[in-house]
Amino acid sequence: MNDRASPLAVDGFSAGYGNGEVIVHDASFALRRGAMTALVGPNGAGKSTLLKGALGLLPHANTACVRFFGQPLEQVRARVAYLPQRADIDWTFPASALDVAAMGLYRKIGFFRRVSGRWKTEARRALALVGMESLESMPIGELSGGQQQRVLLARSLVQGADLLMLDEPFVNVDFATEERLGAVLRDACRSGMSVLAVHHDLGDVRRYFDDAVLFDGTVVAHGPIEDALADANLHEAFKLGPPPEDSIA
Amino acid sequence: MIEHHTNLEIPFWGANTITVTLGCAVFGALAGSVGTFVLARKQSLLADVTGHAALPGVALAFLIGEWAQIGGRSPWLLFLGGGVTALLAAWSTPWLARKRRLGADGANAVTLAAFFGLGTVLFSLVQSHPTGAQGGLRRLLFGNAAAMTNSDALAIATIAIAALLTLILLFKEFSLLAFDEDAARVLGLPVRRLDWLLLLLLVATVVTGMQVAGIALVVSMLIAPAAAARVIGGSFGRTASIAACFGVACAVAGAMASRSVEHFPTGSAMALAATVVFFLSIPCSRILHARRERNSAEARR
Repeated sequence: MNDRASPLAVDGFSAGYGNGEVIVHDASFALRRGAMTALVGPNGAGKSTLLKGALGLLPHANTACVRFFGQPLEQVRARVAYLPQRADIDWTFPASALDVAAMGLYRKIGFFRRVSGRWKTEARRALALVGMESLESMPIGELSGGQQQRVLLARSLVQGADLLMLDEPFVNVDFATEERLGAVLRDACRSGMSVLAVHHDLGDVRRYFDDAVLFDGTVVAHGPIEDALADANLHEAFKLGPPPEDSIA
Repeated sequence: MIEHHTNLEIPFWGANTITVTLGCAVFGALAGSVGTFVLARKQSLLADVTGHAALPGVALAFLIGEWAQIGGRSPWLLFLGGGVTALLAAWSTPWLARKRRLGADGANAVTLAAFFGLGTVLFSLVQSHPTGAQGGLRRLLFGNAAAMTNSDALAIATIAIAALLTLILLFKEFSLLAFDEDAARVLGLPVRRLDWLLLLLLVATVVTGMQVAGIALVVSMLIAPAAAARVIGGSFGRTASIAACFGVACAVAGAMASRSVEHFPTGSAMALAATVVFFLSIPCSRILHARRERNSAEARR
């Protein structure tokens, strides 16, 4: 199961918030390169915890069994980008859309250096990809929810990472933004990037994603979307009882 | 209480006045810019705790200095003492909030009460000390820029300039930490070290502000100029620069007021000036916001 060349492979990963409660139990899966993978499951299943834990954002999670491109995250940080939930961000922070997009470049720019014109051009290019070039100087607090999400995606894209991990990128965004984000991510995957996104809407998961990890505290199923989200798996993950034909019988 | 000299005995534009005004101005710039980060990280109450927590350190440093006969009034010794206890409070408050499930609000109250309580006890010992009363340590509570000596102003300016340079050099890293700590971590920035450095900058602001604004009111110089700048808006860099300018204006206004009126507490004058600046920023922000709206509507057309 553990493909060493996989953008992200976890093998028996468990995580929690350090209060004794384990939220992610013994999760194992390996992402396919160049695929858009949805991490789906019921509310409170621990999807965000899995994402944050794998990225080393939970101090009590042991990431020894998490490998990015076959290596610990520390060795390949430049190849991994993360887009948090929009609700986790303080949108009253005084920054323009361009400032936020340029934040994805801070590692490349290096310490003690300013964000010069060359870097701003790169950030502008990323904003243009998500259709935000005309609003680059707008304070982020004055943007709509969909526009804010586009700016966050621009910040992730500008890193030039090979794996993009997104937490609920399509939540509370308008349809146009959802379409645009979906198209941008699909293009990125075509050019070799891999995507893992927490997604809550089973209705449209097939529109954007190739693979799925069905998750309910642990991995219920993983693979191509039709297999992973088969009725029997969904009934198990969402605790809906036996599949319909059984109940009719 | 009688200081070394009354404010009005000093010529208004003497060499000492200029040095003291410059010392206050550098402190104001530091307070405004550090305050921008404090506000962005929702640490205003922590800043207040840190300010009050300098008191026991200052009193202890004075007593140790007198006991060791190295002079308890040395600004460097007082800064060191105040800095150590302020840093201890700045570190222990988030620790208490996390470890004991007290929450930030409860942890702030517990630490402030503990440190300030200890400070007032030690301070009464200082007051009963023959040189303590004369040393004018009481002015550290509400600030008295007029009674500052050249060596006080020099010590303040040295620390404040070093802190400002650190802030400028690491500005973009600090700003990402303030905006999105998780993203900073995933990017591989040394979040823990940057966090510590920001706490040190807060402590540096508190200790340099003790004589200028006073322990009890230094928080006003940290928060009000930054809040006014934030209301006006713009990028984070612009906000921090505006906050620094407001800080300078309020600090200089406070120093001038202290020079002009006998026994006028500088900290109170600065706090009032900062409050006025904050309330003036509200109508200004409305005008600027309307202009921005107009400009972006024209750009869309």
